[in-house]
Amino acid sequence: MCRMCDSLGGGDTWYLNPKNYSNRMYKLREPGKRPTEALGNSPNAGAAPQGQTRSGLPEAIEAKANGDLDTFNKIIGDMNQRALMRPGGQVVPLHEVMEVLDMGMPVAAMMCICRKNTRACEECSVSEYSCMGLGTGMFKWERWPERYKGGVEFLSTKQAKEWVEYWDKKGMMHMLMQEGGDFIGGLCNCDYPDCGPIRHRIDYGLYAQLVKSEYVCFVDWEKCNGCGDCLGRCHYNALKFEATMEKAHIDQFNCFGCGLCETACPRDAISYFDRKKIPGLANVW
Amino acid sequence: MTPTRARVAFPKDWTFDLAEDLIDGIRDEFDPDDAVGELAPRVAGKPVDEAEEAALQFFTDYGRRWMDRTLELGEKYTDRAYETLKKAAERTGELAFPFIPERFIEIAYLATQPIYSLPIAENTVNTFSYKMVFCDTITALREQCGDELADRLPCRAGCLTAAGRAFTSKGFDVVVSQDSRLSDGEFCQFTVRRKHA
Repeated sequence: MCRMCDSLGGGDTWYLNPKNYSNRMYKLREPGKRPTEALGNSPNAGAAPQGQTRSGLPEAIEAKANGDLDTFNKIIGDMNQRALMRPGGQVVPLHEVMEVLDMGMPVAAMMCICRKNTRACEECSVSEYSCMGLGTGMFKWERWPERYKGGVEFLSTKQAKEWVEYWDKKGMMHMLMQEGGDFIGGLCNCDYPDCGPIRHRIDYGLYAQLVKSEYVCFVDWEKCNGCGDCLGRCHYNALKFEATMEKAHIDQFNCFGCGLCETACPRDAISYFDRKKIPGLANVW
Repeated sequence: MTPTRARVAFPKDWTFDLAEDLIDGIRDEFDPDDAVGELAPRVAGKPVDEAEEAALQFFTDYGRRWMDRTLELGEKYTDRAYETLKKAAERTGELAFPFIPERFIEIAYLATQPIYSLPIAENTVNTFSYKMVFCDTITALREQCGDELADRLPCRAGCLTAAGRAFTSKGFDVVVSQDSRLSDGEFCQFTVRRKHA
């Protein structure tokens, strides 16, 4: 079990538990507390909220660039310890994303903040929106105009499923994110190196922000004909073409269980195995 | 998906919070202490079975009036989150259940109970469920009517009626149940399910 299933799953997979998407719409202000300012109307629009500390990642990157690996490892270690104390995100294969979307919470397509960072420009059309906000918080999206620049588009369950399938076909993997809230508030469809959590994990070893899926993918060599349709879809360097056999092969230790190879295979030669039931991988999250 | 991008204007007068007049208006009319104060003389000296019956009737009527007034004032004092919800529900053909009635249930409790937010246990396509951990009504019942009547939790009739009314008034056919009782455990939990589900 991953740490989120341990603490939030109620004996099952945490992201299939409807309770983890449930949230109130309103709260009353406690006496003495000021209302949250609508940042779009404020001279401080875009600034970090007061009291928010930096993650430490810029310092870690600088240390690494200077060849100071001890400092780099210490900062990353501290960041991992902090991240382990709170929920994060998890890779989720397409078939389980469909189950999640059936729960019927608000789903709104929106601009990807990670791609905004890597490209240094915003996505220019709703048709490019691959991120999805979930839950009642989306009814207040206008409160954070810098995050939702360009607006959001609320989707019906059918539209949301079609939209996720579209991104899956494009080679985007799926993640459910709880980071920053007390409920699952985001469904990302993203890729390496654009996606912040994937990049942080692969490039810097921040393993606690994003955990692997409940599954590991295997290739059935009896069915695989070596067509190679799956090969370009792995973001984790887990899938390769075995030249000696002329078949695809998955390194299960590297596999995140995103299932992008499975959805691309025209011969159903790739299938999912429950990570928890494989002794060597049960604790590899 | 529309392949165009709308620049969004953010008027300064938008509010995402519940209006103070809305909360104060409902609190003034449906304060639990005052309600139990009205009930207490009606059940004083009666055997507990009779008292419970009278209290159940009282709270059924209280729950109906409480939610009707919340629906009325809640529509009058709208906010930007509610307007966005209504537009999203219209656009998607979904989301009205459970979120529109949920808004009014949240308002009703926030206005009358000692809480800053209503703990939601589930709000999905066919189910809405919430908890009451801190309740002034049962406290008032204990103080004004005694533990014997309070332990029977006749106030549940108010919550069940109000929750059902929030949904039926918006056109939903539902069944409301109580899954957990504050008098037996740590909280009351009420669940509203769509009948056809």
